[in-house]
Amino acid sequence: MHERMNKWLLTPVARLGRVPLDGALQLGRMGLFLAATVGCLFTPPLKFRLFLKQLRFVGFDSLSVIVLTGAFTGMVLGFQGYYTLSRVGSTAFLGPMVALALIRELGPVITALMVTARAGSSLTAEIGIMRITEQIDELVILGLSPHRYLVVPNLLAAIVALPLLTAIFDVVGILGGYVVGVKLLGVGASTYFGQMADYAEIKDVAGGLYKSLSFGGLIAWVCCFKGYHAGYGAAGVSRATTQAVVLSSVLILVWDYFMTSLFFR
Amino acid sequence: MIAIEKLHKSFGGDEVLHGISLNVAPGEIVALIGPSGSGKSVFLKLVAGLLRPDAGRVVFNGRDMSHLRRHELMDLRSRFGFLFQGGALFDSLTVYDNVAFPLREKTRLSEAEIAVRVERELTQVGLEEAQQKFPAELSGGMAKRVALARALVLGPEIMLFDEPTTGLDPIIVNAIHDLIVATHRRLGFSGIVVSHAIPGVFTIAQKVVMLDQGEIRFVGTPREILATDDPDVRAFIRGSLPPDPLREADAAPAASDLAKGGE
Repeated sequence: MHERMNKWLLTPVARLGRVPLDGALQLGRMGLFLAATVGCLFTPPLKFRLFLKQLRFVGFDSLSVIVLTGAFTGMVLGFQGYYTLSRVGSTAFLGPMVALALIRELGPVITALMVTARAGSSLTAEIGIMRITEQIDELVILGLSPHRYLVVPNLLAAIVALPLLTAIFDVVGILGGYVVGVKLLGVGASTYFGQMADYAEIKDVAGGLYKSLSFGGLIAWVCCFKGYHAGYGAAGVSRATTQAVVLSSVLILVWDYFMTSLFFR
Repeated sequence: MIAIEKLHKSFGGDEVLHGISLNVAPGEIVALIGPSGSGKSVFLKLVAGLLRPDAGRVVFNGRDMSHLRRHELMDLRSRFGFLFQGGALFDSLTVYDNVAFPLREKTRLSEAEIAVRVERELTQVGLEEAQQKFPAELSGGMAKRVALARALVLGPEIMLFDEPTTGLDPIIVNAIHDLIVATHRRLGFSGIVVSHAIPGVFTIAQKVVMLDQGEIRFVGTPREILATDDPDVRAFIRGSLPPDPLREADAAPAASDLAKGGE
């Protein structure tokens, strides 16, 4: 009786205690995973062909989705910006508003979220399947580092691809805002671009660049880690993929807040 | 060549191996048998260094593998070959590239020399025609043979086979066993074969070890295990033997007679 009472009282406490412990354990594992990857990144040989293959997969193959989402994001910004600014009689500032919103925030964040959804999920699934079919163990048996073959090429590819994709997203978004603001709603083209040139500064572009670089690293780190430690069977890979997309997306938004507070004070 | 001393391994509080010790002599093939869940595959992965033991050690040519530095362990692992249960072929590479992979990554051979070695290994396993196929296009037996060719291409000193014949039909099982015997004669490796293919696996091994609930239940030659008095070992061996079709044919009329008698 006494024992049952103790168990009844202690089980919820033990469960509660396990949450931060599991979190700390997971964070530690992720830290070690990143350390092993960085170790391979700075020691030869670099698997350049694998890097190019992954650059194509993460970067070039994401182009269509980036152009499409960039165009519609810019168009929505054009509409919303115009109607908001028209209330205070400042539609002339539509250009800077669209440009700054895209360059500082929406470009890096939406690009990162799109790459997570399209390429990150695929990376997790691919590495997870390699884990459950013992292909990663085969690399280990051959005396090769799985980090060098599976993680470093993806990390480099994402760090290179994200800023380029973000730049394309920004340009297409600004053109989308131009189509709505200038062609549909009648803002002057010279006003749209002229004001933009006056208000958008190089530090805005640099801030967006730093954000997209860090988002690239974050996506590759989280998605490769989740795939590498995928559980057993199809359910394990499926769970790892979902966790990778959710965790990457949340971390992108959290990290964006810290980057914004650091660069745009 | 390999001395395994008092290996212990637990997963989440459940002890899978309770202090297993085993010696594998140079050129010797050991068959590791036992019921499912007895810890055979875990044992194999501990020997290969894919898992870390909770206690005990694996000594290879006098060197304790648990005390090696990372690069030393990686160098040592290239002297091992491992045939995984599912083959573990790289999906994105062709059969040729799968077999060439260890040569490209671990040797300084030219592509021409690699081509000669790959073709030789694929010919040995009878798959020289399948060079440009991808793993998804292969049958289970073909995938196992490609995996065997890849595992042998660096000329390993130790071969570890994790259920090399599981899921294959009896003809392919015999072909895989013949292939293991032929490559063993050619390369002279030491090996551990985890298998449920009884009695077929006894034809390729010089020593048989039976694991049961994480402990060694029997060690001896194939002849000795077939003649053992241990009732549990006998029951396992008998249960693993394929049914005798002649005895079944004799039993069938008796069963029908019984049915008639009941009417």
